[in-house]
Amino acid sequence: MDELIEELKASIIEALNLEDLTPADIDADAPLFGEGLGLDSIDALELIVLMERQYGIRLKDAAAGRQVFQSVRVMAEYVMAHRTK
Amino acid sequence: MENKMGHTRLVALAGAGIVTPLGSDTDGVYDALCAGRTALAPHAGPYGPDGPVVLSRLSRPDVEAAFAAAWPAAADGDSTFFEKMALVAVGQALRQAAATLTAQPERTLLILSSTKGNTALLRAGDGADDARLPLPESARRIAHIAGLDAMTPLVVSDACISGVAAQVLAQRLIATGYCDAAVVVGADEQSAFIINGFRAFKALADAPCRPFSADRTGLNPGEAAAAMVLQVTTPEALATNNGGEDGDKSGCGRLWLLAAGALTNDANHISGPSRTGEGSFRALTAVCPGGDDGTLAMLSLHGTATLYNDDMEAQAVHRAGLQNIPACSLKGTFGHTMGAAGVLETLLALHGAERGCVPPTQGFTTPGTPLPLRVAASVQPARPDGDVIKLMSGFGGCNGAVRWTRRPDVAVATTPTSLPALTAGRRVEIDSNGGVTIDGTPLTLTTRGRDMLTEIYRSRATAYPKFYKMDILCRLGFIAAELLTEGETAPADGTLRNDRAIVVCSHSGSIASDRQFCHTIVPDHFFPSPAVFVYTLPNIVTGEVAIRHRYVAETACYLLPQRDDTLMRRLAHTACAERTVSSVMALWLEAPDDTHFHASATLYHVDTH
Repeated sequence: MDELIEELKASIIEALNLEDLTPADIDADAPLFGEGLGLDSIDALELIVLMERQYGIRLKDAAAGRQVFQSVRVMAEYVMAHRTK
Repeated sequence: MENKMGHTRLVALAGAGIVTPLGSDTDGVYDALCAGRTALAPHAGPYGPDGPVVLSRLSRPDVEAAFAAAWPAAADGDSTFFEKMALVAVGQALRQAAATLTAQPERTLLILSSTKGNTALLRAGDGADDARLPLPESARRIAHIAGLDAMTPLVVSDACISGVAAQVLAQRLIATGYCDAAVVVGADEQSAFIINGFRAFKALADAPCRPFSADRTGLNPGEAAAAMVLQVTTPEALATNNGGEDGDKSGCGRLWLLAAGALTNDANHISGPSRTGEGSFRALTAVCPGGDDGTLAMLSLHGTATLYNDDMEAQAVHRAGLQNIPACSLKGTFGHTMGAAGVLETLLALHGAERGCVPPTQGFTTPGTPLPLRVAASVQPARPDGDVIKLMSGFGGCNGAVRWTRRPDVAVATTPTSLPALTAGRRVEIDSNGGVTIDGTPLTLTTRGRDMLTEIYRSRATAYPKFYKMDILCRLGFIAAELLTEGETAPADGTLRNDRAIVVCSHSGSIASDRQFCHTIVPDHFFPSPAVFVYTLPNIVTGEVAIRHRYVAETACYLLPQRDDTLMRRLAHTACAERTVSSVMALWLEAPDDTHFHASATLYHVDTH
């Protein structure tokens, strides 16, 4: 689990071009959206692409994404349960 | 006020042409629209692996045949499908205008409105069609075939508002004497590129769309071309005309006049519309300063049937006090025809108004915006001789509105007669290899190329992490704007600035991001990226700068055959038509790839309005 969390942090930084951040700057339990990382609706859509590309998980829409992208830990749990690759 | 009658150059509609899947004869298409027909249907491809797409698609053989008939001398040439559909519309419009067109071809300007032009030709890793990709190349070919290449053809590429922005530009250039007539043509061809971009944005509906309805789920892409011939006229000529058999006693003439136009920015987000309808509200207010004053026939709205657009538009209409004017969206009939939409939907609204009708909003079910609009699935009566408002909004936070009237006195009051004098202020040059100068003084920098922009961002700009998300064109424009505004006092938090316009000119526009997006939709690696797709609209850079600096005045993006400083200054000048504007940021931005770019930026100050 911890390994997956670290992997996700690195993937998020790369996919969303968070160039000034390192994995250590992202709290696995903090909300990904709203305050904090300053992510927006396009980032949410890009995370949907990341889930499919990296883990073979297809999320239907942005609303489904909102549930999954609550925090890096929630994302990791979802990936563990649903990954197809 | 001084007497404007003597020197007002009014702008009249002299001819129109449309090419849609429901036909290419305006009367016939209008009847089909009112009869509830829709061009929307599922099509399998060639749009990628994710199954059929509901869209409106032009018949290729029909367009080819119409092109060969309209332009026989060009039939053996190598015009693309996109160029052919545009030329068919141009041919129709010119034929319709022939009887009344007095402007010389040397004084007639071609303005092409498109978002993605020949992008269907783009293939990942294949540079074969490179020369055909920049939109100015299409404009040049269209102008040449139509015999309109004496003046440099212009391209307006402002995402979804392009067709309205092109009308606004044409009005100002004719009214202020740059040209005597303009042929405004809007067109876009649907392709895997565009379809999968919208898919990545989760914006597509899997059934014919339902604008403003409670059960709306998204938009449908569409294909069309539409052209209008706009020509200078004078109040005196109209008075003579109206005194003849075509006039009537109400003071309304036969001719439609483009009375007013406004472009604004939300300064909110590059893809999401303002939640308060800020830009659309401002655009509506600019063309309807009197609100609902009993002179309006209808609002032809954008009405894409996405959740956020329609809510935003309803809010803007209410804020402008126009909620009791009958309104329509044509997206359920033609889909979102992108570069054509502003022109096509304006022409059909004018057609309806001539018949005292507001066209139906095909697909409308039950009201679904928090603030209600007067939208109906059937034809509504329109105020006789009332004016028509066309509203659009788009990615990059841009909004545009035009007002058409048949009452010369209205047009005389609102048509600009001259533009205020401009003085060039601070000037910034950025070159990927040559470095940066501000007012001729070089900046000391240790890097070149893409890294140089990051170095400037880190050393001279306020922290703005979105910089790292931007593509090369936006980074270049962002840095140019930072350097142009260095030393200015930032407005208080939340204060919007309506005193500064942004005009971006380029040749190859978003081509670097176009290529990058293409690489995300190759068959064995099919993961269309929304974050890349959004930057395939060249006007996004205007939105990025507007958001950073809270600029809500006019923003515009023009693509030119080559850099032309005199023409750029003229285009920057048109952005001063709005009286609130006291300075214009004029940016020439050319960034064909990550390692070759050039910016030439000037901050112009308006002397006095």
